[in-house]
Amino acid sequence: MKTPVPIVNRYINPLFTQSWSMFSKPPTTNRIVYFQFRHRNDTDSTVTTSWYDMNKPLNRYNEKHIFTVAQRLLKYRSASLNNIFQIVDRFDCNIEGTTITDLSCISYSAGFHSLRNYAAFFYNKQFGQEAYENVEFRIKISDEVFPRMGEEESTYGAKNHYKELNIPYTPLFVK
Amino acid sequence: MNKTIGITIARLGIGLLLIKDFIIYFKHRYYLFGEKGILSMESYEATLFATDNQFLRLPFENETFLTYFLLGGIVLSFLFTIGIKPLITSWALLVFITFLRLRNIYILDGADNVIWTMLPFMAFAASYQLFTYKKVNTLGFMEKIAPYAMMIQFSIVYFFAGFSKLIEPIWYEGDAMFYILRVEDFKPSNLNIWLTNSNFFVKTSTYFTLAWELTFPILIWFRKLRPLVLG
Repeated sequence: MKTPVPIVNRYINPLFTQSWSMFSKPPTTNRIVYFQFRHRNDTDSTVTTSWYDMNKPLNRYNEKHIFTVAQRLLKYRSASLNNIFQIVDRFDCNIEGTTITDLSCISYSAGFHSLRNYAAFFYNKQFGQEAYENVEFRIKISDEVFPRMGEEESTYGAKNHYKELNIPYTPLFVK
Repeated sequence: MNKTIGITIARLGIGLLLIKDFIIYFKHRYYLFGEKGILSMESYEATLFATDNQFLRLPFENETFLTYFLLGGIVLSFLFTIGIKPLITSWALLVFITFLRLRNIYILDGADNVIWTMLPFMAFAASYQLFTYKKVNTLGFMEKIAPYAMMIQFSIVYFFAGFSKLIEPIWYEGDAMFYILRVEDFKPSNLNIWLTNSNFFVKTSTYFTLAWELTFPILIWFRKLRPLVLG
């Protein structure tokens, strides 16, 4: 909302920007982030890891531990994803099937940078950065549509309810 | 009952939340705000540039600075909670949170915004008569204005929040709480699944939320009805 006084608007936006109508259209899906890595191992062979679910471990941890950093990380993940989708919609990024073909469309966004940093932290913990060089990673974002009000509980998380956005391989560690 | 009990509880609640937050920030400072934090320094500088606030850049990449900055936040939050120098601690906390917000805007949410906007008013509100290290008499006329300013702020917030919900089918059909409580990111436990299996609970909680947000801006102004909306 712009104010008639420019100087007021200058500090109100964006520092005090808050959409109080945020939950007027509440989210009706679970947005799940998966990472997959590709690197060369000690024998110089290319290794592709399995997909790692970034949501479930953090959500489970948050359910068991209150007043921890998990709450902030959940917010951070959600904001990163929202930024990516906003960029995709605003700049009409080229998408073939479910994969973004032009990475430059989102590679400068804060949301993508944030997810890459998150992936780098995860990779360090899993594999140790010193072990491998030239690591690449890719992202899969799945919209898990859970049952609508009145539907059976058994359809919760059914795979045919997914919508997806895939971000292709890109270097994980940027020097 | 002392007339200032309500605003005192607000001060204690805000203070304890800030202490909790700053302790968490301190414990994970390099991960959240450091040079190789989850939100990169490039994104930080891009935020400053986009908002024309480059002069507000702080050296968060410096580990010593980051450590003392967050320790300062913990100390200020504690002093604010026990009511020491409210004019200084409230405004200092506002500045601290502003800098953290610029460094990593992704980790903050609506509740942080509410606390942030209430802090300047807390400097002047008469919340330092009870549960305080030393009784503080704030500026006479500001003491009268500050609570009304806070009530106006909350009234505007809840009016727009309630009105924007009222015009959405998912709310006036009574289904909204089913989805809000089921989304994993907002689901603190599986109790939410059990609760939202009840149609009665979903409808009641959805309409109650709507009624509360729409009546708050009116009921808050009547002293006898105030406890209804403040619990």
